Amino acid sequence: MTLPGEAWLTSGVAGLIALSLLLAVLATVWPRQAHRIGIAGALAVNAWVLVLGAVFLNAGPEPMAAATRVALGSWEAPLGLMLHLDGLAMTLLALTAVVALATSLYSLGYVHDRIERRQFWPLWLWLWAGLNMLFVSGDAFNLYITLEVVSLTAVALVAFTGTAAAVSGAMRYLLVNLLGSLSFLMGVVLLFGEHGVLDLVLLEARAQVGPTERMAAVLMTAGLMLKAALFPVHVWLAPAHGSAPAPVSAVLSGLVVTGSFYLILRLWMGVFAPLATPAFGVLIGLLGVAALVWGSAQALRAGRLKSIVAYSTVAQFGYLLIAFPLMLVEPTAWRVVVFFAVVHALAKAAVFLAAGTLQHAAGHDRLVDLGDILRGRLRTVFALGLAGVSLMGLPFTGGFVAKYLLLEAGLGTVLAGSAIGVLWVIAIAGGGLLAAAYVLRMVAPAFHQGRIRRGEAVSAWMDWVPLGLALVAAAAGLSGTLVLYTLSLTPGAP
Amino acid sequence: MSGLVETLAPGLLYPTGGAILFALGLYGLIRRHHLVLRILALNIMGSGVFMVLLGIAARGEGPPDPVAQALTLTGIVVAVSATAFALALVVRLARLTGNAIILPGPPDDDAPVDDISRLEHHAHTEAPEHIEPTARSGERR
Repeated sequence: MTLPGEAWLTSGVAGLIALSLLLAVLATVWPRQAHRIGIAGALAVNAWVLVLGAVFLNAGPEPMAAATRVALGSWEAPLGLMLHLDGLAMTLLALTAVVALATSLYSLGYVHDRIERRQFWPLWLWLWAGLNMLFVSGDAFNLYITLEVVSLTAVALVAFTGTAAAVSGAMRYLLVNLLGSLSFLMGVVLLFGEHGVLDLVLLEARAQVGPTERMAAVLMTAGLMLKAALFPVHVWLAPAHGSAPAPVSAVLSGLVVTGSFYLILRLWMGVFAPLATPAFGVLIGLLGVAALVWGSAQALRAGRLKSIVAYSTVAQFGYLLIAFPLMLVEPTAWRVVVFFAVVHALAKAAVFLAAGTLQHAAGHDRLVDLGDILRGRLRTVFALGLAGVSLMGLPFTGGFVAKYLLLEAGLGTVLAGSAIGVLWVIAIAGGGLLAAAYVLRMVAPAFHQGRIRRGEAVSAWMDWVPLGLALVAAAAGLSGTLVLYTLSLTPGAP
Repeated sequence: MSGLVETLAPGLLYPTGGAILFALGLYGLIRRHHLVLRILALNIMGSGVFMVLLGIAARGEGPPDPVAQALTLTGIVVAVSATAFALALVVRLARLTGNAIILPGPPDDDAPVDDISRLEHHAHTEAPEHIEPTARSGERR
C-alpha cells in the first residue's frame, strides 16, 4: 500500500473529484465567466484523467489486487465514505471526460446568448461533477446522493429552454427520476438494515441470498432501470431527450443513461451476485429483445430527427439487457458490454450533436423537410453517418468490435448448450440491421436530387465538433484492446 | 388499538408503517394526475423510506444507531431541495399551459421544436426572465 503508484492514484482520484466540484462551485458563484471556467475546466479535467489513466495502467497488475480506495477525511469504512477506483470506474471516467469536452466545445457555439450562458454552464458543470462522483463512489448512500445531483441538474437542463414542451418533458423526467431515486434509496435502507454497513465492498463481503436481499435487489434494480430508460419503463425518454437542447440530449443519452446502467452492472457483479439465477437472466434478456424491437420500430416511424435518435437509445440499451443472460454463462462478457456502452455513448453523443447542428441550420428537425439542408451540410451529414455506422456496427468502427464480441459471447452460450442463446444471437445480429435502417433513414435525403441549402449560419464549433466526436467513436474500434485491458483490472470481477 | 401499538416493538411498527406509506405514495403517484398531488405522493414515499430507516435504527437494545439518523437528515435535505425544484417546475408549467397536469399520450412527432440557439431573436417573448415579472404581477391581483 506504500507503492508510489498507489499514492499517486489516491491523490489523483480525490483531486479529480475536488477539481470537478471546484469548477461547478466557481461557475455558480461567478456565472459571467462560467463558460470560460467550463472550457478551461474541461481541458484541465481531460488532462487530469489522461494522467490518472496512465498512472492507473502503469501501476501494473500487482497493485490492482485491490481497487484504489480513498477514505474521505481519513474516515475509514464502515463509518467514512470511500472513493473506489478500479478498471470499470477508470474507463467510464475517461469516457465522461471525452464526451464532456466535446459537449462543452459544442456548447460554446450552441449557447451564445449571454443570459442563457450564465444558466447553462453552472448546471452543466454540476451534472458533470455528479457523474464523476457517481463513477467513483464506493458507498451505497453516497451513490443515492450522486444520483440525485445528476438527475436534478439533468432535469433543469431539459427544462432549460423554458417552453411548454420542454418544461412538460422535464416534469415527466423529474417524476420518473424521483421515483427511481426513492426506490433505490429504499433498497439501500433495506441493505443497511440487514448488514449495518453501506460500503459496497463490505456489503459484497456479506452478500447472501435472503428475502431482504431479494427485496432490495428488486427495488434498486427497478429504480435504476427507470432512470436508465430500460424496457419496459422507457416511455419517458423520447420526450425528455428529444425536447432538450442538443448538447443536453447528447449528455443525457450518452452519459446519464450510461451512469444508471453502470450502477446496475456494479450492483449485480458485487452485492447482488449471489441472487442472479439463469431464469432471471433470461427474463432480463427477453426485456432486452423487446426493447430492441420496440425502440427500432419507433425510430423507423418517428418524424423528427431527434426523436429517431432518442428512440434508438432505447433500442441500443436493449443490447445491454441481452448481455445479462450472456454474462451468466460467460462471466467475462461484462467487459464486452461495458465496451459496447462506451462506444454507444460516443456515437450517440456525436449523432445528437450533429442533429443539433442540422436542426439549428434548418430551424426545425422534421425529416420530410430536411432534405435541402442535409444536401447543403455534408460535413455534418458525414458526422451523422459515421457515428451512425458505428451504431450499426459496420467493420472497422467501435460498434463493429463491440457487436462482434457480443455475438461471440452469444454463440458461446449456444455452444454451452443453451437453446435460448439462439434468440440472443438472432437479436444481436438483427438489431444491427434495424439500426442500419433507421440510420439510413436519417442520411438518405442527402443523396436525393433536389434543392441545396445551407440554412442559417452555425458557428465553427457546431460544424466541426460532431465530426470530431464521430471520428473518436469510429476510432474506438482500434482502442478495443486498451479498453478491455483496463476493464480487466477490476478486482473482484470475473 | 393502543394495545396493539404497544405490543408492537418500534423495530417492527415503524418499518411496517414505512412500507405502507411507501406503497400508498406509489399508488398516489400513479393514480393522481394533478402535479402537486403527485409531488406530495413522492414526499409520502420519501417519508416511508425514512420511517423504515429510523425503525431499523431503533431495533434491538441500547440507543438507536446514529448513522441512520444522520442518513435520514441528509435524505430530508435532498427531499426538500427536490420538492422545491419540482414545485418551481409545476409553477412554470402552470404559467405556460394554464394546467398543472402532464397531458398523457405519446409525444407529438410533428410538434414544433425548441432550439435555444435561436431564442435570442425573439427573446422578448420567450426568454424566461421576461415572462416571470408579468406572470407574478398577474398572480398578486
